Amino acid sequence: MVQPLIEIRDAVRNYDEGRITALRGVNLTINAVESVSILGPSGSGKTTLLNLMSGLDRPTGGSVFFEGREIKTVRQWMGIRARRIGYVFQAFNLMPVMSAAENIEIPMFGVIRGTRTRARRVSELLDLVGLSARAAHRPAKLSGGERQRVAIARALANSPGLILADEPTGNLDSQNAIMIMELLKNIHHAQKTTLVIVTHNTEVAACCERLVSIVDGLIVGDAQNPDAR
Amino acid sequence: MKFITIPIRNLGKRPVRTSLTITGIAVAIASFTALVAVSRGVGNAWTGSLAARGTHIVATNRDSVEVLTASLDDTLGKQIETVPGVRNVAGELVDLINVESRHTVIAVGWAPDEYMWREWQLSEGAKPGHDNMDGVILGSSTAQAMGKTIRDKIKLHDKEFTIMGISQYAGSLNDGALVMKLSALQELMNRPGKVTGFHIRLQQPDNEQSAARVKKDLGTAFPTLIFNETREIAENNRMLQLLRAAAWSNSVIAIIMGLIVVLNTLAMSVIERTFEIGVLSAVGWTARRILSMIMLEGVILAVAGSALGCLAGMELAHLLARMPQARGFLEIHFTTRQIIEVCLAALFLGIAGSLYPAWRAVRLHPVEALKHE
Ligand SMILES: Nc1ncnc2c1ncn2[C@@H]1O[C@H](COP(=O)(O)OP(=O)(O)OP(=O)(O)O)[C@@H](O)[C@H]1O
Ligand SMILES: [Mg+2]
Repeated sequence: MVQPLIEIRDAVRNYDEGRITALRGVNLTINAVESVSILGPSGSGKTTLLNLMSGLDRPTGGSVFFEGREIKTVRQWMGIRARRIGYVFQAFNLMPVMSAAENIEIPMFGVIRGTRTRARRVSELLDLVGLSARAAHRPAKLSGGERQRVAIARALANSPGLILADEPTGNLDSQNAIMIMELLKNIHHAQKTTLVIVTHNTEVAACCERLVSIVDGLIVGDAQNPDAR
Repeated sequence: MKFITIPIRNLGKRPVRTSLTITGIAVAIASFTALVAVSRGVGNAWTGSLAARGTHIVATNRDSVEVLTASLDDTLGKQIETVPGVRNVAGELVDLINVESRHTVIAVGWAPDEYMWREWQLSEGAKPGHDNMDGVILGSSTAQAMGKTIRDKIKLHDKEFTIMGISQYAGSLNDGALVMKLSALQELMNRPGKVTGFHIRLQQPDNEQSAARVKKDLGTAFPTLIFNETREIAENNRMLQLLRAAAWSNSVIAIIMGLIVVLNTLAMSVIERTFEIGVLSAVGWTARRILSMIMLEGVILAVAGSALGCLAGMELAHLLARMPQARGFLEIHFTTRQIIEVCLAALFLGIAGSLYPAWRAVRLHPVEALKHE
């Protein structure tokens, strides 16, 4: 039986005291262990929607449920983000003064105790994204694709059940984009993580099992994608 | 990686700003350390010199603010000696005197038959005889600074004296003093028949009860005088109280300046790192963790600055104590208590200075912060 992981009900998100509406009544349920792409043109509200799913942003109206429980406080969301959600950004957003390994370790503070335990987990993750040889390198010395692999490893740090990725291939050439999508898909299959990818690239979207389309702050399409591998 | 590595890296990212901040804190802590050490050093010098002479109680004018300005008839000593429990009384005239218009020295005068002459410790030479009015004893540190030795002449207010002996004491006040006959000093200073105070030795100094009783009896018998036990004298002296108050208020200002330096640096750094803080929030850092990171940065700055400042302040205090104007008046000791005070000041600086920037960082809206690139 499929279990809803995140449920968004009648979510509205206004800016500037209602003059701008980014989301105008969105209903969306993300089930555990599916891969979902959210496809839409620029300004359609994709990032806004993703931010509601992680609790980084709160809806102006409507509600958000995590594992069937309505999440209301900032504190609850902090706990969920720390242990249950991994975030991947378009612009990688790694700490420039820290090595690849240290960047991956950052989310573990307060969650995984003991320097040695953390170090072991870091090397596992470096292995997983194929960057063991670059552990000590700072982001400036890595290619775009390598940086995004570090960012994915960081998102996986605390073994979250859900990965939210906002345009993860937006800053990469097509070859690196394919590599990153392969990596995300592999993680999704091997570790049974739920994957939500925001994109305006149809090829990236096609990698997911479910395709959600958003236009002007409204969901206009939601279909299974039998062609996804 | 340890958690503390993260704030250290953040500070290392801006080496110039970090070093300037540390220097600012160091200056604040150095002045705090030096000021407090100097104000205590004056008291130490006093208490130490009295104890070394075997004085148990010091009597002086009730109303004089400062020992040097006190003025008592030298004949009072004989009356004080009649109070039961008192063993000896020595009248003493103390004043600052310019030697050969270069060195300021504490000049001490005792009447020829006073017990102080017997007790005074020499390292060289001899004490001037009963009727020798021109003979003086010079403290070894002053002798060294002036390049004088026994049998040399020195000029005090155009009158020539001969150095008969060199005295040596661990305490800087005694070791710097110039000792001479009371009547000679009275004449030099134009204070005939006057002394600044009386040194009193008790019959039973180790019996606290009897000491307290004698002190009380003395107070009743001589209401115009004030009697202080040796250990109280530094605490009760009004000049020293003033000096301590000045040192402490300057120190508080220095600490507040240090606090503002920390605050300014971290507030700037938090604004610069708005985006980074948004990322940390997105990858799962709780508010408490972000708060700890910023506050640790403040504490690291404060600890580094204070360690440097403490060392510099100690060095400064010793330097001041060696200056010709201050030599002999200051005795600098650093106690654990003082180190603890500096540590507390540093912790206060770091925590209070980083509180507001940390609060700002926690208050950032993560989505707004992420747009801040
Ligand atoms: N803080 C804000 N204040 C005002 N308007 C905002 C704010 N944030 C987003 N918006 C508006 O909300 C709408 C949706 O923004 P959002 O960032 O979700 O779009 P998006 O689909 O992610 O676009 P892109 O593909 O360009 O990233 C846009 O019209 C945007 O201008
Ligand atoms: Mg977007």
